[in-house]
Amino acid sequence: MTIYRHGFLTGLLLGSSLLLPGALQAEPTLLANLATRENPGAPLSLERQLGEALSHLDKRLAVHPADHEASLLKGLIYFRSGNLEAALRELDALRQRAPNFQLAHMVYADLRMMKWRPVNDIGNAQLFASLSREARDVLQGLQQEADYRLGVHLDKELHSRIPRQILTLSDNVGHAIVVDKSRHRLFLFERQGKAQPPRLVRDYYVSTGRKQGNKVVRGDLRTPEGVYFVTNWIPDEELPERYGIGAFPVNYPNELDRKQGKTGYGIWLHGTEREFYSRPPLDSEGCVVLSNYDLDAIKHEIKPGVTPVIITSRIDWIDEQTWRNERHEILQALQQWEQDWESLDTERYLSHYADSFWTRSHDIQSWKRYKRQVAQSKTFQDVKLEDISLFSYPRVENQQGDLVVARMHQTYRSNNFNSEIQKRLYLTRRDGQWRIVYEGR
Amino acid sequence: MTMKLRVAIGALLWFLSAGLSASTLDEAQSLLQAGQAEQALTLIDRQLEATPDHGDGLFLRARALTALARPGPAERTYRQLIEHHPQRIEAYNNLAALLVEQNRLAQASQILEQALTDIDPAYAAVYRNLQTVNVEIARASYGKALRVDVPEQSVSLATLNLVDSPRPAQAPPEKVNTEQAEVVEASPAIPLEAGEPTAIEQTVRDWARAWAAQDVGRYLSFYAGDFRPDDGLTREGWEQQRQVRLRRPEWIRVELEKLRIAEQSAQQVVVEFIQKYRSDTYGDVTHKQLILSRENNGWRISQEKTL
Repeated sequence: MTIYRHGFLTGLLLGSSLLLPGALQAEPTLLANLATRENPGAPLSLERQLGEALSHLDKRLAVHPADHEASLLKGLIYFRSGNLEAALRELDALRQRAPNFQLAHMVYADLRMMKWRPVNDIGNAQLFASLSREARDVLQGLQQEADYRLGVHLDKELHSRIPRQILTLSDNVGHAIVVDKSRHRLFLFERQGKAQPPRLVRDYYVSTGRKQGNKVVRGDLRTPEGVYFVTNWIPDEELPERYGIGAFPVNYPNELDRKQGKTGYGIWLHGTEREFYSRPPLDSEGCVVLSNYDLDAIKHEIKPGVTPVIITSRIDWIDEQTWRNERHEILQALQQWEQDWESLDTERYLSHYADSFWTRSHDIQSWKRYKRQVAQSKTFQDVKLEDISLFSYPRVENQQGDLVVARMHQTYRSNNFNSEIQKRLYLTRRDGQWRIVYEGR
Repeated sequence: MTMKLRVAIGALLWFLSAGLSASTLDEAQSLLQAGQAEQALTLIDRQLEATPDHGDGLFLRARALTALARPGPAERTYRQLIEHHPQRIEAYNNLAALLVEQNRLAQASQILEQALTDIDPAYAAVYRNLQTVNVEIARASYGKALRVDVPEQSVSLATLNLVDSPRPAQAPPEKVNTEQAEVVEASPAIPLEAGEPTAIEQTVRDWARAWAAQDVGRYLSFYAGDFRPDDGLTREGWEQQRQVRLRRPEWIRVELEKLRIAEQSAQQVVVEFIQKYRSDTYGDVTHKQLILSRENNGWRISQEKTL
């Protein structure tokens, strides 16, 4: 990405060809997207876009004054609009406020250089030719961080769409997190009303495992992909400094991971060593790393045992109609399963289970034997499913068909046994039918 | 004493003090140039007692204080000067130079910008200084971004003299100006072979002359396309550095002695000489080696080494 060159041109051309409405639509621009993100719909004049983008960022800053990425973007927008002085002021204030934000120093330096001669890309002024290997790596890391931090705003895909990963959030699950590894971005979604798609609250830059790809074994330095849940909160004082202000461990390896023989542990969502504002995109041993400010901003929305953290290589964004269709299909399948269970027709009930079904102690054969045996003693069964959350499992290699994780509160009553449990089901689509592949608590 | 006489004496005294002022300043300036800043300061301070806001007086006072390594009082004097004479661009420039010495780069750039915006946007020396400050600020900021140590105070700015200021010049032109482009060929070169060597020698001497003339474009034109600086800089970084270093001093003098051709082939020669470099801020003597390669229109420097 050549942020500046683009910006440089805009600065020079401001007031001429770029003011034609078509010109800005031709390619996604940081500015256009920042503006439309706030206000999807009609194309805006450049002046309006500038105004909207700035007011969007000012809103971000009003909510979180420590939202340094917003300041960085503001500076770049000033720059794009040809106001180098305002850009310098913004960046200078930012680097004073956040002296550990290396990218702010870098962009500030670039803008200073630009008073003399154009700089095409971040950190590309070539003032330091004889950099040590270490410094060169830092430079590269910062350039990549800039690409991810800014690139997300160039991404048209993200506007007014819904991640397939969150199909339903029950009303006791206020928020859900989706991590997009390819964009190095954590998205925080908020539950809307019943049958309403979740709303994107904010998104944050994150670092992930040093090695790209899905985690398989312990020590492979990769970040796992799957549907996970936060298990607990480890506060600052119980952690080494390198985890920053705290950590939310997630339940890797989950049922599916274990079934697939994956190993390793200690996958956390955590903060950043205070010496640094942020880390390069590929930096952790598999954890998802937020800046301390960002973690602090969202930590109150994250509830151990409740908040889902879905990690995917790339978020599958879908439109609302597709979202409604998929959601409806699975809810129907669950309802049918519940009814067939209550019907005491054991074979109809068992037809909801896939051949590859497993639980902690059963495969499909032993499960069928067990269920048939239990059914003999039943005169009535009453099953109630409540608080249903549905998550589409991130597509991973070797996966056959779609996979969905359902989480719900199940109340079971019968003539000889009652229970109330938190149930977790994995469902897969076979021959156009959703079937259960895993059942557990 | 009659009223008339009193007036006459008053007029005489006024005349004397005004006359004294001009000659005192001249003297102070000569003392300053001779490196006798202490004496210059005493003279100027005596002068300023009568006319405390005197522009030239304040300016010379600030220069004397700078020469005496008293940056605090020098800064205050420049600020006082700017307050009373806001159009004197040389005061802004030199104040910025003083701030740069103390690594107060951001303030220096502010002062220089102010000078260019408010007084004269086309003042080349001030503009160059501003670029130098900008590059230095950028360098320091890159250092913080990359977490590498950047030495502080690695630059100093070109300062301006009274004579450099755009006011109508009453002062005689400074000696420095006449010396600026001079290359002193102190000792005759070791005899060279006929024909080509003279062209080679001429190239080297022209190179030194361009350097002393602070003519960056011409100076850089002596370097071959494949010239690699040997201090680890890129070609671009090196050119930037040379640009700053050639332009920063008020004057540069380069003398070449014992120039000789050490090795020679059809496409390449090795030239060695003693190089005596002096400027208003720095001087050294080095044993230098240049490797020149043949390019389309003559010899160009492809390597430069201090032996």
